[in-house]
Amino acid sequence: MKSPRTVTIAVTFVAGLYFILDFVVPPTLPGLSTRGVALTTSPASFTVEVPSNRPATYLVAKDDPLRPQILVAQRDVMGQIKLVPTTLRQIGPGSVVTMRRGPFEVKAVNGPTILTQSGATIQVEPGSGSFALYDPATGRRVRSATAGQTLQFEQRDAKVLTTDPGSIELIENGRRATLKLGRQSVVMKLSRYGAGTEIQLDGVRPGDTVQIGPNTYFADNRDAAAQFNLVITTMAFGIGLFSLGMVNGQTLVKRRSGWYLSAFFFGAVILGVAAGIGKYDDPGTKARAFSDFVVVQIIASVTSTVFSLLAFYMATAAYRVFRVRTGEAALMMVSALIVMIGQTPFGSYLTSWMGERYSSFWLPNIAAWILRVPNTGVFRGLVFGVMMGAFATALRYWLSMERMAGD
Amino acid sequence: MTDRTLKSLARLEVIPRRTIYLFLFVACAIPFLVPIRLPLHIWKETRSAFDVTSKCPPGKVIAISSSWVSGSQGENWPQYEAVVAHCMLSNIPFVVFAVDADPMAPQMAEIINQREAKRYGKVYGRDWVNLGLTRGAPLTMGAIGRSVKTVFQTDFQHTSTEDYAKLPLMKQVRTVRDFYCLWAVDYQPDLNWVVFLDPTGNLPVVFACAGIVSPTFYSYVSSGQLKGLMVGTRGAAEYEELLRDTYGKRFDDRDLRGNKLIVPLAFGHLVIIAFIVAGNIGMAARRRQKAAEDNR
Repeated sequence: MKSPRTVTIAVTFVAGLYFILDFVVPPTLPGLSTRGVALTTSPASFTVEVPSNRPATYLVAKDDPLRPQILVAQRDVMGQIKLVPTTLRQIGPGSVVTMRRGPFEVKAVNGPTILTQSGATIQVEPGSGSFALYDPATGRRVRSATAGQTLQFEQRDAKVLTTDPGSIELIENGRRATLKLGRQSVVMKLSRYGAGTEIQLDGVRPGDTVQIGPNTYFADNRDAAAQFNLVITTMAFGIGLFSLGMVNGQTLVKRRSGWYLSAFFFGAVILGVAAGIGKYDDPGTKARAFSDFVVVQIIASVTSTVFSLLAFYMATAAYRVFRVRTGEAALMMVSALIVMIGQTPFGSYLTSWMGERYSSFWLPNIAAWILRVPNTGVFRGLVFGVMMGAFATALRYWLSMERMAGD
Repeated sequence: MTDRTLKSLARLEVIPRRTIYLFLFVACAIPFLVPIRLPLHIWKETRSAFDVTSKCPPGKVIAISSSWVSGSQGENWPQYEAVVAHCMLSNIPFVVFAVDADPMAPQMAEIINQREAKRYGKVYGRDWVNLGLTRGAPLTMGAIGRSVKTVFQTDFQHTSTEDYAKLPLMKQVRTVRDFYCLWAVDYQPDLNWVVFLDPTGNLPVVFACAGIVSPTFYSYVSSGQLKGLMVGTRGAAEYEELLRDTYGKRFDDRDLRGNKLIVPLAFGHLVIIAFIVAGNIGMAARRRQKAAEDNR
């Protein structure tokens, strides 16, 4: 077992490396990607096993009114299984998926075959739990289809046998070429401005500039990385509370000086937790009223009061500090006074008598010019300098060169 | 100038801080007791923010990141209520969420949402949804842009965001493409919103920030990365003025804080400016007094 420090260093390095590469590495592998102007596409398809052991093939084409939506089962934060949409690229042979097709209007029913108004046919297997027809308006299951009904079709828990990602015909460097997509090929639609966005093959329109290449997988794992970040950040709060509890608990047990503040800390934590319990209750209930009282009447008032005191400290600090001792100090004071008064209604009140013709000399307009022009220039320079320092500091954190807690 | 006058003026250099506190308190309290109305100059940044929101087309939703809490409510409260009033007056649906904020943030926002909803006859779930709090910026911002319901699987009252019977608005909120613009209302909104929420840079982003941090955002307005900026209580008061001009009597400004707080703020600023000037007069008088003594 490695020491906790080594584990921390390794996790920090890997997480940092992922975030850097996520920014640097494009979604498709450089060197193996093809860029061109799309002409035509041949649709992707996939074959699934059906209960009668006859494989069924589905085309993934945008102009198909019954284009299947591919769904996979995932557990949500409440612990419930739900179906979430996925793409053909993210499934493969052996994957278990649910296909949703429609809504469509039934034209005729002939045994297990449903003919839709658009001319497409849907095969169902009566008696099989894997096939289901739904009323999209109510979400209720329909036992049998009748002409004129608007329905949605679902095939559940189907095992994928094969996938065909399709192909695209495009103009690449002035030459016409046909590109067969690989199972992990990513199709990026490029725009004149901004970054490219991933689209499905059937979303490519003739004339689109596309880049197609093998997946670098960084973009696919962004949500997982965001959740990892979320978990770590949330854990930090728990650790902070635990650490505060340890420190204050020791102070209380050993009756060190200020022990009553530690007792107050535990009282505040209990009050906060009690208030949190009723936070999501319906308005009007006692628990919700108690929560709102603690949050709005106590915590909000206390924090507002503390923050308001800053105004008084800032007033005395400004009085003591703003003294014209040098030419630069005079310049700073004059611009500060203009910006201060220009941001209040007194700015307009004092100078608007000059009329629209001389509106450039109104105090609010002079204040705005100071903020928009000299301030912007100075701030940009400052940010460049600060970011250089931040970059160096970030590098030290990433490589665990900074001192860690307990060192 | 006589020695006596110089001596009197020199005292202005060391005014006791309690005197400053008293003057500031009285100056800020007077407008609460005596109603005073002052003319407002609408800044370009506030007007741009207003125009961006006004142009929201039907079928689109405005996203509001409301991460402020009671500490900065003096500035963020009037800003947030002005934005919410605008959305409700224009029948623009909105989703509100907080990222890396105090756990109180969704509750603070909801107090305003529900009060404004009563005025304009809006219904929770159909006209707005409060998605609650999440953490982990800036990566979470990118995740919201890719899939709102993956990050916010429930609203702030733990109703599933896929329960369209209770939250019909969520049917049309999937990714950043369903947003018309993002408002970030906070003491110091996170600039990562500009970079991460919509990496293509197409989504207009508007900030509402505290006055003291506003100089850091002007460079992003001039570069076009921010489409508007509402600065402090002044910005909120200007926004209310624009709402009044646009919607006339339909705009219910009872209890809105922008115009109420701008006057005490202006008086407070005047007192601070007066003391700064007094301090400098005192310093100049003491210097002259010292020079006169040295010459003798």
